Amino acid sequence: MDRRHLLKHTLALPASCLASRLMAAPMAQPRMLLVFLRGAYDCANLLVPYSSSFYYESRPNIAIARPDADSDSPNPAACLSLDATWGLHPVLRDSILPLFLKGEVAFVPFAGINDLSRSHFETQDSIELGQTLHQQRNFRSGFLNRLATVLGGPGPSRPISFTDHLPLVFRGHTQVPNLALKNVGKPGVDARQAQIIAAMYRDTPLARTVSEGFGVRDEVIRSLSIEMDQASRNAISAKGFELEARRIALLMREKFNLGFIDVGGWDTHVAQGGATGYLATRLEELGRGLAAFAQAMGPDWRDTTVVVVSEFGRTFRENGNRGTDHGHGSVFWVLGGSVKGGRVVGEQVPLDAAHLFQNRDYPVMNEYRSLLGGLMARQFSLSTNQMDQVFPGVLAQDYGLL
Amino acid sequence: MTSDAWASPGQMTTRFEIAKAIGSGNAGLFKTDPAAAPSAVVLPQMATLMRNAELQTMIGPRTREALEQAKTPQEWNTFLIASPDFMNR
Repeated sequence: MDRRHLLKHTLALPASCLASRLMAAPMAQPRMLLVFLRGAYDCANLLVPYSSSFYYESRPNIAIARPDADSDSPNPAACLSLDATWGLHPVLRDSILPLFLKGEVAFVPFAGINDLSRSHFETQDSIELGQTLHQQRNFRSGFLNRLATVLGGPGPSRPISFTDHLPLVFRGHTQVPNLALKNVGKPGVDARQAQIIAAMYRDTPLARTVSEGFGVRDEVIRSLSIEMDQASRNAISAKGFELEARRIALLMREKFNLGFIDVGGWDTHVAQGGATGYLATRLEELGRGLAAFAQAMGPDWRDTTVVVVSEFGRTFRENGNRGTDHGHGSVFWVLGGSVKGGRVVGEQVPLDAAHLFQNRDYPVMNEYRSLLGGLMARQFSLSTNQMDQVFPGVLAQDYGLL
Repeated sequence: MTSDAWASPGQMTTRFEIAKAIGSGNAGLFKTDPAAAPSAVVLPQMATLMRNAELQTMIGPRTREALEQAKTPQEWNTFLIASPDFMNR
């Protein structure tokens, strides 16, 4: 090395030191979690259109009762009034209602995708790909992966899928790790064996996948050991989705800015129940988990947005088995510390026989890509150009939620 | 199905866990008599397969390096099943 080169390197040194220090500094990082309710949940019993007498005619056995004005001994089975039109399922009284009253939750009814197949798999695929319908689909390009790619451009971005398999929504150009948090135990493959196995893959196309898999596993186990310490101190034992949601919060606070989780069990064709019963139990668990997530995010809840989606809605009328069948429009939830919530937003129509789509379902009036696109653009300060890479050809709409 | 459907980081880690379960005999796959005690089950010594010259040529140098570091027959089996040679058709 000659002097000129040496000088050049010496001069470059302080600048690069500075840059790495800046990168390491903690910063308020915007985060987003997408929750996918697989199986199409019955949104009309979550967000109850209680002002519609047609709702009560259409659901003689499974409707949720109108809000109870008697504040001394309110009917526990009545829905919780959110405004003059909509009420919330009573099982969410202690979880989602307080967040709604704080203005941290908004609901968007008549939301969804224009796909009309009414097939779970078909429509889940369409949603996760987020591409133009009725065109050649690219199954290697999900919209969260495209978002991760856009976010990964200038700054550090860390996406993760909290699932056993990498879902379609996260497949694509950017490598995204996945890890289900239901049962995180001590791994069978120890650190030495992991190292030897990773070494076998050094020169193969799977090298990064394998090392990322072990890396994320170790990181998660390290983070969750803190959780176990805390849990033993305040002796709360969460289970099911609530436990998962708390773990997700722990990881998203510390390490990840873009997350995905799916929750199954919503395909209620038979005996779905009303104020109590199967669907009520599922909604209660979901609500409790989301409230736990909000709480566990702590001060970072301010920078976090959660969106809850499902592939389609269900029929407005109950079927002969006291359940509901595959429908069309759904209700999306938007939660977050900075969400301008406490309201039901988006285009709406009155719910009577004349306004049902094909005389059976909620219409889709708030197309999910323009809704999600608007949220992403605000949350991550993305340009129109960048949003066009996430949802090509879709005009992101600002619902004023962020 | 294409490889990106199964070759995500989480799924690869799961594959290695399964490789260990099979390789160390914990999965109980080699019980011929369901009543037999776990200790009585004979673990396949996959290392003996390596005497087969044809098989040797099918294993890459990286895999061979890993196999040399195995401390027990169980570990040897685990590394072989977890190897890239075993992942791809």
